[in-house]
Amino acid sequence: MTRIIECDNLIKIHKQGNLEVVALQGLDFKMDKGEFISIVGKSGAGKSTLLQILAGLEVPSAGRVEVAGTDLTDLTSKQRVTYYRRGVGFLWQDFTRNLLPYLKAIQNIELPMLLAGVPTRRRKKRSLALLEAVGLRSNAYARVHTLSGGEQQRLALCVALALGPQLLLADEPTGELDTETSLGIYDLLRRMSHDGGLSVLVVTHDVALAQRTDRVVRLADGRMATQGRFETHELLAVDRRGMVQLPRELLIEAGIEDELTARLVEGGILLEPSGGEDGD
Amino acid sequence: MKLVTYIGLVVRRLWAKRGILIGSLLGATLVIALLVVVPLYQDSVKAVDLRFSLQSALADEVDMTAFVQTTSYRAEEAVANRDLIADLHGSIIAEWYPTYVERIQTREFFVIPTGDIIDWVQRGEDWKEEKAAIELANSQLSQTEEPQAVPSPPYPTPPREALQVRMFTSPTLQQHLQILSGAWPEPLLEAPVADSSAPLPIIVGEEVAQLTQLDVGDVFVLKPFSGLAEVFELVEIAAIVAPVDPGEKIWGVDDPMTMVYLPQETFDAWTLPIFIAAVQDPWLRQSRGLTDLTTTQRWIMDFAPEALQFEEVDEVRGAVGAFRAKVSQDSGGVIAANTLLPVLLDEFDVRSVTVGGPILAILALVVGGALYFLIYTSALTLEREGPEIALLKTRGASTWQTTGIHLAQSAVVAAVAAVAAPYVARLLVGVTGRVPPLSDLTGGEPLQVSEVASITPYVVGGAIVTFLSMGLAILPFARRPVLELRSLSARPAGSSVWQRYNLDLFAIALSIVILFQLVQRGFINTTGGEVRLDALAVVFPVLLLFTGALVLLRLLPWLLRVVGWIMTKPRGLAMALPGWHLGRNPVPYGRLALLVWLTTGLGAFALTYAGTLEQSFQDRAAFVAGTDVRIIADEAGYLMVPDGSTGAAVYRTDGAPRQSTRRAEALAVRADEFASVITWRSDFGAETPQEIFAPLRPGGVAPDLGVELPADATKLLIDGVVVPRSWAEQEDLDTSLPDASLRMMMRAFDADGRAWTIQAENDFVDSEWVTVEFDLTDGRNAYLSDPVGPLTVHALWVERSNPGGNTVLNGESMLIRNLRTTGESEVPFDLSELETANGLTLRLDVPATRAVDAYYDELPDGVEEPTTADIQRSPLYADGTATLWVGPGVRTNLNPAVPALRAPLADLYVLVDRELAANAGLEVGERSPFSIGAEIYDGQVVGFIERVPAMNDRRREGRMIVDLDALGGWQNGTPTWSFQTALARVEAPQELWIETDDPDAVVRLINAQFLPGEEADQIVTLKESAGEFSSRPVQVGLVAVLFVGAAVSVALALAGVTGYVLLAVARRAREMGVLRALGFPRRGVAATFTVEQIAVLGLGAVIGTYGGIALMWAMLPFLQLGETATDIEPPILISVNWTVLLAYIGVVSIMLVFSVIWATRKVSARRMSEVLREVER
Repeated sequence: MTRIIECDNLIKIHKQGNLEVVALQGLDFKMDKGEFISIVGKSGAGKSTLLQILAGLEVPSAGRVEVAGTDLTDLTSKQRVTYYRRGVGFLWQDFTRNLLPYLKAIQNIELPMLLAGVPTRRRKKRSLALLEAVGLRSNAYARVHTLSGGEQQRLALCVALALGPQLLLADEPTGELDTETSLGIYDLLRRMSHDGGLSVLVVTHDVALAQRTDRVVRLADGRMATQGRFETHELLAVDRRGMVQLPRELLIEAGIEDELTARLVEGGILLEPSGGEDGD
Repeated sequence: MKLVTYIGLVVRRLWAKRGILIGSLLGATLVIALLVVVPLYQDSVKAVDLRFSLQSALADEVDMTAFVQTTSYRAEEAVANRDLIADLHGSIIAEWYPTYVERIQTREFFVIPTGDIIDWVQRGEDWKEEKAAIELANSQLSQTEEPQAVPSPPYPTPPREALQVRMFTSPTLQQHLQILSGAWPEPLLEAPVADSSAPLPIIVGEEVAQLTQLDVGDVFVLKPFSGLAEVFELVEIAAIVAPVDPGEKIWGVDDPMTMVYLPQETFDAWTLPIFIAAVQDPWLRQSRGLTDLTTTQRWIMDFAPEALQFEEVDEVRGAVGAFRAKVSQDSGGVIAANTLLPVLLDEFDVRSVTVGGPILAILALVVGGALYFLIYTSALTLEREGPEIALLKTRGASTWQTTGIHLAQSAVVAAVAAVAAPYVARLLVGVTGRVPPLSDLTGGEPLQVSEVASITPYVVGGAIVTFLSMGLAILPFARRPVLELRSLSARPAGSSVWQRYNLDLFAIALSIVILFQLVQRGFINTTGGEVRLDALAVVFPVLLLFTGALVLLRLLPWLLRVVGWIMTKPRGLAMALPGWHLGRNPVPYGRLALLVWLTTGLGAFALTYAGTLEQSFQDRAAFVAGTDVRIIADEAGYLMVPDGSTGAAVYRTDGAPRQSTRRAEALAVRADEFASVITWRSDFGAETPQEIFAPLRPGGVAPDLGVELPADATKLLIDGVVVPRSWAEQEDLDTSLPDASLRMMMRAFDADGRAWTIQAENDFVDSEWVTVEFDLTDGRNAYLSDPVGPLTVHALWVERSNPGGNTVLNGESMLIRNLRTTGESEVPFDLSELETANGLTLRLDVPATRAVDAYYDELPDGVEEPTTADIQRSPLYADGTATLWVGPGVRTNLNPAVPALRAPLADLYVLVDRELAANAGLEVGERSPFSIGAEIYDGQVVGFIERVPAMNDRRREGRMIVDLDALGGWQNGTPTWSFQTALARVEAPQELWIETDDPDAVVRLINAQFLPGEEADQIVTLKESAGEFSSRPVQVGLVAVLFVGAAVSVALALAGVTGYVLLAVARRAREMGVLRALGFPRRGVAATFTVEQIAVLGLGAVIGTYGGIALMWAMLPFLQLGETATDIEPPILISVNWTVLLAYIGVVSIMLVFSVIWATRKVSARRMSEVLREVER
């Protein structure tokens, strides 16, 4: 498989006045082409920072990040524009950040192509195809504000895919949508990924929705805590101090609340609810 | 296609953002419109000014007069001149001088009546017969006989009292005259065929007919004032006429009633010799005609002010020059053409520059303000567009594409503004004509928009400026990272680029340098003979405003912190919260405060400017008038001051200390009364006029001019006798003895300071002691009223009653005693205060018998010595003592030094201006001879003056003031012989200054005092002067544009403040949400935000008000230039009308507060859920 994203010991330090906040602490992350990955984590875990670095909006303080062969640590403004046009598409939670309200649906999709110099006929054809794909063909000439939230987000997806990027970055794309609509969007993304070979990286708070992706990457304290599917086992990261962060779902499944007991067993460590031993 | 799509995108963006872009469009339109207003308004106001100047100019000044003088009139030359003028008039100046009249006028003719007293025709006929007879007799004489001489022909000669008239003609003569009697004569081109001696029909003015008592049909002789004896013409009155309109320009200064007329054709024919059969002429002349006449052929071209459009000023100036040159050239220098129109136009040009300067500067200020508004609005728009630019960038828009879209959008706004602006400009200019004060001049009509200069450069320039102002802001924005752009509207603004690089300090330094430069080299550039405004002068006020704004931006955070700290002191949260906010985060408020500072600053400036200008008009009027009413006339100082008013007599002349050739303007006044009427300003040299003029009369004591008589005295009585020659001497001389009686004269000053020469009613004689009487209620001077008591006797002298041999005095001596006045009682009168002068000697306490002793000193032969009883019986006898007056030797009436008894003259106390004193090397306290008028007097400098109203004669080099009475003593106290034409040299105060509340009534009452047919030379009133100053259209226009500027700035500020508050409050929805969530009521939230914004507005308004006044200070040099590029007197002082200013600030504040409340309420009225959702994000 070809790598689409490769982050190596990524560090990002934000300065807030005299304070320095470490958002990413040596994050290693890789993603293959065509994968549909979700990134979960608590507030401040570094999800958005990672996404912004991948989107070329922020430059890491240290480490290396490469997307589709483009090194994002040292982009010139021209390379950045090319990256936005050809390399990556964005889907944000806030509709207004995705769409220009004064343009019609099809004009919104055409806008990136217009900026990239795509000829009119091709623009239109591509726009209509994308609208068809997301089921908004009949709304091609509708004003943005006449569309529902789900429709707007689907339209935003079209806009993000207008120039046929290799990678789609979505930040809480369903944050303002109801569950049903959210599921629809995720299904659409999955279809695009699996059928169209599009690499999709979604940042979400919603574990249930995250489960619908191929892989869930959990970030904690600016690092990868676990990754993989949640169904069988969880791969947990151990930090330099030997700390391991357990996913909440796993704790709930295991009935662990405030305390737990760790026991060395053959081939590993068994974690049990602290009351479990008494029960045995 | 791509371009079309781009344009489509831009148009859609524009449409979508129409709300906020309306502000930009409004600002851009205003900027361009105001730029366009500069030429339009200037030209329109100048056009009104030009019209005003031309219409108020005297016709003599603007009309074109061409004339040719000849000592020998020739019709063909006159016709050629006429054709030349017609040709050049039609081809060069007919547009502005559409009509003209021609007049030909001769020098005087004598009107010689013939018939009643001397029948000149009959004399001629008689002479003819006599001549014929002599010639016949002579022809019959033998060769040895002496022929009889033929007498000269009896040509008519004018009697001494002959009436002199001028002859007048014109090609259009008949149009200008109306016939009172008789009929208009047919043109007579040659002598009558039947009788070539028949009179020439002529037309006479009514007054000529009346004076000569001639009527239609009467014949008289008309003879040129100078010329050969045989040149005269027998004329017959065909018609008696009066002018159709005596005021017609064709008459010039002549009275048409006193002239004689010939139709043009007749005049042309009869100014050539008309050969006739000599035999028919009574004087046997071979030709007739009024040949070799001295005439003036003149063309008066009527200037039509309404025909001169403002844009044609240069053209008409050129045409007038060309016409004059061509007339002179084509006529071979014979015809001269003159008009003062170019001078008037030059004055207008200078005024346009000097007064146009402030208009330009003010408009530049308004444009600057509007431009700031535009940049401000653009920055706000861009801040709001931050997320959108971020979106575009993440969708692959390059920096150039985002820049391009914004620039295209700015270009569209600028283009639309450029299309709309000229209409707005015309509307603005037009409207100023409808509103006071310009409406007074335009009659309430819109100001006619004159489009002289092309407005295209202004429109294009304005469009570029607005485009750049709106568009350039994108450049730093477009380069910002996406994340920064997204958070732009929520982040506090950082320090400006001006402060970051200390460019504001640089701008301050630049302003100081420019101000220094301007002060050094002046605001007006007059090099090359042309008056031009220094470009720096226009830039300076704008730079000052701009610099002030930058300084404010630097200081404002500190000020706001202070305000914030103060606001946290009260307990209420609604005050404390905004206080905390202001103190913590003052920078973003800078722009709001700046906008308010600009608005209130411009308003305060406009009002202060208008007030200052108005005050200056008043000051200048007061300086010119000196007081409420100033009457200038002969002896005006003696006119009666109407009740309820205060008056001061003022004598005006010239003078110089140390007899310098540099003549200063000099006034003579009475300090106390002058100080009480004069208009004064504390910067004229002293706080009050009393203070500065008091030294003229130390201790307030009037100068001692002589012996003051009781106020009720009506007569002055003196007993005296002329010491006679001896009896023997009288006998010897007998008939050749001159009349020895002496007339006593007195010079006295009355209570009004008038000098009176009073002559004793009877004379001293050498035959007896007599009591001579002076009637103190009547003098020999021709004043309008009798002397006003008490009188002060200044001098006494005697002269011969009958100056035989031209000797007015020749060593006479006289005894006088018992001087007294009579009135209610008799009061003795003492002469000891007076001193002798010019050779008079006085011996006191001489025996009174001296007269009788002198008489009996030598007796004729045969006469016995008189006994004591004889002596005592003599009318020359008196006992006791008397004062003996002994006159010097021969004095004639040509010798002005009259031996007299006169009051000693005190030093003149003189106030001089410092420069004059310095030039003469005088200090206070120093004595010096002073030349005042034509005389030299001794005086001493008692103080300095700086500026004195009504003393602004630019021909004079300096100013000086003396005491009126003291000067009167010097000038008018000198005795003079009564036989001289000037009885008493009386220099009377020619001015009366009156302070009054009712100037109209005072003028009426003063006019009533003049004799019928007489009037004051000039009456200057403060009211009229003020009106004259303040009615200059350019000045009025200036005030109008100030108010328009202030109104525009208020409109911009309202729009800007409302927009800003809406945005600023919306930006802080997060904070609002938190406050609401914490349980803060909606009203409380609104109040918090309102208080915060109002605190900022208040600070801006206070600083703006003072800033505006400071700006006014910077503009003072403009005003100081005046209309003629010469310094205004008195200097202009800033006048702040705080009532008006505070009213303006109040109105603006109320409007701004309402806009803030409205904007805050609008935002705070949002639903809490909505706000909280925003907080979530």
